Amino acid sequence: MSTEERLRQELHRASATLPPMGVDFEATVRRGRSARHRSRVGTLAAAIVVLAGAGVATVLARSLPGADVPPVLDAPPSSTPAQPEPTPSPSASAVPGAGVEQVEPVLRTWLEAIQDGDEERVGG
Amino acid sequence: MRSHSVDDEFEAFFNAHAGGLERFATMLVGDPVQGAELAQEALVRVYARWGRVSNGTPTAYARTVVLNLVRSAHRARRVRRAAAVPDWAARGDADLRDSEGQVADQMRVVPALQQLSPVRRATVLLRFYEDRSIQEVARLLGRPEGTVQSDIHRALNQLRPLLEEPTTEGGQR
Repeated sequence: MSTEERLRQELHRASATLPPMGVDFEATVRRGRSARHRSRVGTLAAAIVVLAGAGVATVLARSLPGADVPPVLDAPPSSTPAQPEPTPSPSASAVPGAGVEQVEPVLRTWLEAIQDGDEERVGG
Repeated sequence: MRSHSVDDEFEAFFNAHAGGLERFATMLVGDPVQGAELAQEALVRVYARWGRVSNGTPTAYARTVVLNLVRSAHRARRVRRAAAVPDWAARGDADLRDSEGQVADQMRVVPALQQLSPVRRATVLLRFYEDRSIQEVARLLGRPEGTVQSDIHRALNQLRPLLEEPTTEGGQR
């Protein structure tokens, strides 16, 4: 007899010696409702945190030095060559840009992984 | 009304698949009590996400949840062996003959299975216990068919000596 066949037979015999305990439908539904409620509250709280974080990031970005400097319109003529306009630093511009649209899919995947009990996706 | 229809749909799913899921979980961990708990946890999650899950394959989702729970416990056991983890996870290379001497012969396959990684164990169960095709196993576990085939090949190589071992007293290892 091949190993596959032997394995098949032994698995079915072992299954017969492991009596099912039975899963209670009512308890499952009750816990499922509770889990769904918790999940909704968690998602709402996470959304609030993300939006608040994005709002804070935007406010901080606007209050960064140089963010509110008005453009020089009538600079006095001078003989010195005009200084090249400083380019905005990537970190300053990335703060508002890395807002909701980049964070949301990551957060959603993370929340789904938590609900699925998938630690690899949560950790990764 | 919507909740009623969700409950009705879920009840139909539960009646059709809860038994199979429980047997799968029990064989995966080698313990009926823990198997029932794992199956219920998976079904709770299926219910909680029924709106999304019901459009796909809830049975696959439920099995994935069971497998992920077992893998998490397996990892936890590896990380902190001394900590309190479920019996079935802590047993690892379990030998049920110690506690269930009278069923030693028939249960030989269960401790043998525990020597495989959770994913390989699930692959073997889906293929040889539930008699699913390679394609189905790959779909259920979300793994490429080649990987499933390779897992089965390696699992059989690992199990072969254990399955063919003579059933003498304390014969394991």
